[in-house]
Amino acid sequence: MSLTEPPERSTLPVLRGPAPPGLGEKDFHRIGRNGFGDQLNAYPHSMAWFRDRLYVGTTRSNLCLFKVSKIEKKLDRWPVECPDYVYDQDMRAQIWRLDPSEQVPGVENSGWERTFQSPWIDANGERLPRELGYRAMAVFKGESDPEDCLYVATYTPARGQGARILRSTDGESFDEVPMPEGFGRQIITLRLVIPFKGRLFTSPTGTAGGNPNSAGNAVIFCSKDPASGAWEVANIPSFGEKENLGVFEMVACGDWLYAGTAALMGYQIWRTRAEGEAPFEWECVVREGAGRGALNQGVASFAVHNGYVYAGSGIQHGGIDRTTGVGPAGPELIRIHEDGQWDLIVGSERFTTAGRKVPLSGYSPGFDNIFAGYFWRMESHDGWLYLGTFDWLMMLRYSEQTKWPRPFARMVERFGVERLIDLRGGAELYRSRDGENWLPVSLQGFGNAYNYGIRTMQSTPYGLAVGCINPFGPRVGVESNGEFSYRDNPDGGLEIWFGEKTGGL
Amino acid sequence: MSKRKAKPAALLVPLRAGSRRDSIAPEFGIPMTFDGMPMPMSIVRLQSDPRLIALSIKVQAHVQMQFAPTPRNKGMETEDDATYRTKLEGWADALEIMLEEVLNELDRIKPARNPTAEDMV
Repeated sequence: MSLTEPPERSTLPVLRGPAPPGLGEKDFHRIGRNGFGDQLNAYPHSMAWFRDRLYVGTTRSNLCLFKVSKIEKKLDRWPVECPDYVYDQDMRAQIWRLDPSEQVPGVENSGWERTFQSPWIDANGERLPRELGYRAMAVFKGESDPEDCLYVATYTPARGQGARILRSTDGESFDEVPMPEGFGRQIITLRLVIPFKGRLFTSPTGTAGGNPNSAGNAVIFCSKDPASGAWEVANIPSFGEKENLGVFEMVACGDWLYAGTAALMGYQIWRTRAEGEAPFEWECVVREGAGRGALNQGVASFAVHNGYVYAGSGIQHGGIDRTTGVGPAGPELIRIHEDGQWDLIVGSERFTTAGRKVPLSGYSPGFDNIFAGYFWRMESHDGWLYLGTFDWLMMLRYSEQTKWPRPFARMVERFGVERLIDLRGGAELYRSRDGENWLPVSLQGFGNAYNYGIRTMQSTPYGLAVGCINPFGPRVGVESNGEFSYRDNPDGGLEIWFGEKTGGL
Repeated sequence: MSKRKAKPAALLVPLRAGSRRDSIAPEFGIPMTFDGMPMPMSIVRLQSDPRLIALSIKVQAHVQMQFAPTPRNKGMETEDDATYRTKLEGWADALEIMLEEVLNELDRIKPARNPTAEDMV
């Protein structure tokens, strides 16, 4: 078989009736800016619609945390000004709530209130924030919950108490939920709280020692009643395949719960009906990074649209994993059918064990953008699927240029870093109705190149909320007249954008 | 800025998967050819189905709209249009330079990777 032979046909997506026009960049307006007035709020790491309000959980000063982490870095100039001791600045994570009725047109950050802030803890005499960030949110009603509750997954200091799940009935007071046995202090972060068939599912995401994205063991826990701490193990460790280093993303679609792993030889995607007693039966539907191998290191995002599961990939640490020597390489998008077959939507044409795969969209990895690191978040809203990227172009300004591959260094030398940033810096947002034809919504972080990743999206009854990470504040490093210095950044701090056709927020 | 070079037409292959480029035909019961591609539609077939007539009218209107004179091709490009166009052109230049440098690098390392017969002596 040659690459010119026609690929195997797959079922066309079923579009149920006419969809309203999708959202273009002009349909979006900014509803949160400069980290809600506190630029250390760098990541809108979680987002949920709960009791007619929009909730956003933040992670603080991520670039200063990155500076003191054990993760290998290749930056010769740090992008933001950081204190010598990172906890000299207030690193306590926050939860913000938007009341649409309190918004005042033209008044920045109106309608938002901070409803919760991490407490301080004493860790062997060191005062630390209990939580640095809130990395996931979900609305779920456990067996003993009187009504729907907001569940929040945490990101904690390495010398802290370990990651927890918080639970709130009112969005203002949050209690810690008893965690499963084995959830020790070494587990510092969770990015999954997923409701499915009356249970809440979670999985450890990262451990202390510079591994925020690798738990070392792909284990999933579930509970019908998290408040009572009645957790069960939902799968056999790493699905019986030791190359699975963690479960990075999960999503429910119809009768199935899907789990995407991170693995050095390429991600795997497993699914279960979660019937009977835990641990459940799981089946593998995608292996070896959908046949691409190491460059599809992990499943960074899942979404369900028109009955299909869409999976976006990524390589940790912004698309360049120096720890394992993988990348840079643009992310891919695949689509999984109910029968377990899958299509390549965005990516590189190739032969796989599932046959020849041609990108149905016509786009190569990263939507043809060599600076795309992950397809980080997807959301189905009002008949359209939206996809947001992480884009590492802005980091060129700070990276060790002497270590770049020669053709790349020559290109940047001839073209100029700042000109590249001006042309395409910032995260990208795309949309598609049928999952195959994709249109750009914003190619430059809604006009702010410091918005270099789209980490959260939430469909609401009023429109689509989009959370942009922006850790380039309060003072950002810039070069002027050959001198590098830090200056106040009026465009730093996380931003929230809202897309709507008419009315709404 | 790099100099744009004409590319051989043969290299400009369609990017989307072939099976997706004609995807509307099966929805209207158009038979498939032996290699799985939809058969061309005849005008008789088109006019025999009210749904296809309605669709063809819509398609025609859409095509007319797509190719109607716009402020851009009338020489009335707006400021936003110009900014967008300039950025896309600049991005294309950057990618072209990148390609050029990659080809230069391949030329540079090629002798080392493919030693000549004389080198092998």
